[in-house]
Amino acid sequence: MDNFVKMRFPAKAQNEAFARMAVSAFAMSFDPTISTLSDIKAAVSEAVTNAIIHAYDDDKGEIELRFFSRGRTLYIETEDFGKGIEDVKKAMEPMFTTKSDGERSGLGFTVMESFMDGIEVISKINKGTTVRLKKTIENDF
Amino acid sequence: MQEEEFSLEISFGRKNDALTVKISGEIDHFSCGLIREKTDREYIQRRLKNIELDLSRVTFADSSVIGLIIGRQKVAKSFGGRVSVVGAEGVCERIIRLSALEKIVDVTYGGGKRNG
Repeated sequence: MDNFVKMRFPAKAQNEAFARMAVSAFAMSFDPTISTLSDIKAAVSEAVTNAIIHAYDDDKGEIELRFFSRGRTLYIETEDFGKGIEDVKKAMEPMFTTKSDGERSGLGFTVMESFMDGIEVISKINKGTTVRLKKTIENDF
Repeated sequence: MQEEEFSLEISFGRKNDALTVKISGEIDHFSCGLIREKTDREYIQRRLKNIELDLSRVTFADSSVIGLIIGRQKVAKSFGGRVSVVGAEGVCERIIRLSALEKIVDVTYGGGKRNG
């Protein structure tokens, strides 16, 4: 592991922008293109938003966000300690959502899968969910 | 939270029978609530038929933008109108292309050069 950052914050919607700024700052040392950086920010935004919307019924939960790097590969883990996902495979299907009345499109995992090089979701009922994302940032110079 | 703190700006106008909505700033789950509320209020007050969402000044978007567009389409449809999207580019364009949105809403891409 070359470098890492670990942070913990309440599962509140206003922290979505904060999480994106944090990953953006961490990824900057790899000199990503603007479009790669936007893709990483979007993927993190999806992971954190999922945790905020789905993990907790009350407003008291927390999210832990961890970044680490190995060579030119960036690893991002978003962990919540909430209710867990009953059927991870189903949750990852495009357009599947349990919150369609909240105008959620069900595309969060689709964006994460498309924009990153790897995704792993580990979930335990009433224990929480961890989403692991991986992205290798090519050296464009 | 104040809009200024979130660097979100929404401006409304009129083009024929459409309400034009120009969004500047970041579209995520948090900002969507505000955009939705203001747009629906303006649309109903002005009694226009269609809604045109101008995304050319959007600096970031995640999949919340899809829910926002489909939601406005539902509102417009209930008044016999429809939604069109203009100026989507960068990450906004990549997310719209990933979704099946183009099947139900008119989308045109390009515009400024702001959002990577």
